[in-house]
Amino acid sequence: MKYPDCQLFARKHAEKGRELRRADQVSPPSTDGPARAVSRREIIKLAAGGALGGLAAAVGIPVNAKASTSGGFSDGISTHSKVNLDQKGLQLVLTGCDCAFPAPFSAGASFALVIDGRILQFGFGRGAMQNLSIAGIDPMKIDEVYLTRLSVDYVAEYNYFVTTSMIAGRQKEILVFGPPGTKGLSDIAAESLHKATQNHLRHLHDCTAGSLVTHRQASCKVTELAAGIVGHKDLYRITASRGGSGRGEVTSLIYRIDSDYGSVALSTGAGPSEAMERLARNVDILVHHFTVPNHGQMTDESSSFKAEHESEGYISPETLGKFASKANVKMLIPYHSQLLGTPTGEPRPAPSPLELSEAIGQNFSGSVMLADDRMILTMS
Amino acid sequence: MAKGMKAVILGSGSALPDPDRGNPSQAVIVDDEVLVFDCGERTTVNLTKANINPMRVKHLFFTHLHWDHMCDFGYLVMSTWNCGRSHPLKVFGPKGTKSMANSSVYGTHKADVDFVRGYIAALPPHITNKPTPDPAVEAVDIDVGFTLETDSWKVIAGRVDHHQRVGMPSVGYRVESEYGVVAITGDTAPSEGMIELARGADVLIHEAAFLEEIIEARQMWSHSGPAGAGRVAQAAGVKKLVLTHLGPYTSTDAAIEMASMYYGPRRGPEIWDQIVAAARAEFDGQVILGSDALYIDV
Repeated sequence: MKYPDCQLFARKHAEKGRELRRADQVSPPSTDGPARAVSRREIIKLAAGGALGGLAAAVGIPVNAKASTSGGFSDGISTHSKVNLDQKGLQLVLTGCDCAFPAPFSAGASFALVIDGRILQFGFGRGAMQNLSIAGIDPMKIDEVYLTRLSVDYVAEYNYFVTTSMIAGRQKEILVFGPPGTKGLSDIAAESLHKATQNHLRHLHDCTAGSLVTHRQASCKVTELAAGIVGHKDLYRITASRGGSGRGEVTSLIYRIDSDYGSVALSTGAGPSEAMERLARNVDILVHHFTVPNHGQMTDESSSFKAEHESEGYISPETLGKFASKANVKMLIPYHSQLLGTPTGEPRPAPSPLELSEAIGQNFSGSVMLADDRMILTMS
Repeated sequence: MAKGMKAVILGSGSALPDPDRGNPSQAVIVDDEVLVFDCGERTTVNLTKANINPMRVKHLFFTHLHWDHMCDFGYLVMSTWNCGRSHPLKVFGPKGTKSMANSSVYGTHKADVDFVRGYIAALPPHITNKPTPDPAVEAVDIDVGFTLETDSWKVIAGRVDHHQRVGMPSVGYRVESEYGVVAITGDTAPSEGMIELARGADVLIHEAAFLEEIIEARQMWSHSGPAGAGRVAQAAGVKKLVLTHLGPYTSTDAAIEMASMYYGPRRGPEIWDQIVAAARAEFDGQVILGSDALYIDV
């Protein structure tokens, strides 16, 4: 599967962006009201192109594929699109799109948003650091971290990020936001998990009079969040809402980011909910997890899928399409495509990306772009 | 899996993020048993990259507890548990290992432990392929002189020289089997202890975390350069020397920028030849530049 050249999308989007801006101002998350950005949707559809022929009628899949994107972490680095930190606009970087289980060529769930050069990281799944690096972002320059949920697939590299940044000489405090438990997670790293390294950090600091590393210990300011507007600067506004896991065991936060350049909503493994629908209302880009089912199991009517998975908070392609349509989303990026085994462990044949997109497109007429690591979408 | 003994470099990189190289970790495979030594960032993923199912790992040995040698431990434990690992993961390492393991599983990943337990409890009876009730980990603090022996292999912990003066207990390991011997340094300056531990080994996996010029300039005396590693290999009389824990000298701009305090600006690709040449100048045997998922026959 070749994935789209997102810069092409970005360029096409940018060409129309300026004229769109005036008529397509950012709107707050709301539960009602008309769709606001028909013209932007048209642009997205323009970017989607028609290379997949008939499929594009139902689902826009940008298919101007770039050969290098299908390689591993170490492959094709020079030809990957890079983030431009000096660029005005909103750049969405998919720093990890895969599921909880280890895979050699794809990372766990996480995303970065770069808004006029300010870097916001959402989640810190495995592989986030290297994908940031490949995308052109020095992880030490991250301004704010927003944890989405504290499951291992969303925080596997969080402590590594914090400790490594300090060892590498980060000067400024790390601002961390997340659901209840985030402070405890950070404290564990400082007090026990990375205790040996923290001792070493103090030694380095004291021996070199602060010239080698600035801080004697990892310097994080952690804020645990409730729902509502949780970040508000001139450049952007971040709204959080609580998502359910389906089993009610893990507190998840879902985020919406509004800026002058457009809006993005990020789901975090939580099942579809009214809160997510409110948050995603009329958003330009919705990044939402889904579950890859077996052939013939992509609909709500598939009794086996329903019985096995939907009760656990997973979401089928068809349900995701319905959800995106109901929320009037302009562009949908499904990620975290978890291929679930059978109850007794037999392997399952996976459906093709085309089949998945068709299943989503049964109910959703906007653009769909299957997520891939290091995809960069720009709104400017 | 074929009979025999192999060493596998899982992570050949520095302590800092590098798209080309994971944090330090290596495996020794004896027949069908996989022993993992250190568990830095990307270890679990690089097991799969080396075509080793992480579920097969039953023994994990830490050389020391610096974050770059242990930060993937929680992910290894939780992901294999979630995938149905039924055997306990036996973990050995210097003082603090047991506490670290406990903190990682039941502290850092408390949300997952609670979640998976709830998930298991909610599964209908016909689903038989599911995780065990607990992410079984048996962690033990060890010290220099520790020995663990089975019918197939023997692991011995020996003295290395890495920040002990600031309270960082560190060991190296020697793995013996009927097929041969692999020695692993973890982090260390060139040391007499490691020479003894590696004596006559078929393969010595030795850190070369910094160029000698960097060690000198930044006084990083608790690490080795390639020449130092070569001297240890020569003195120990080993057959093959594998250099690992390598800096992001030619990586992405962002990785180089982040690591610049330690490694300086970008180097040209000739740096790798220079590193190998520096070791070869001191060692008569074969010098191998480590890379992720690299297999070395014993």
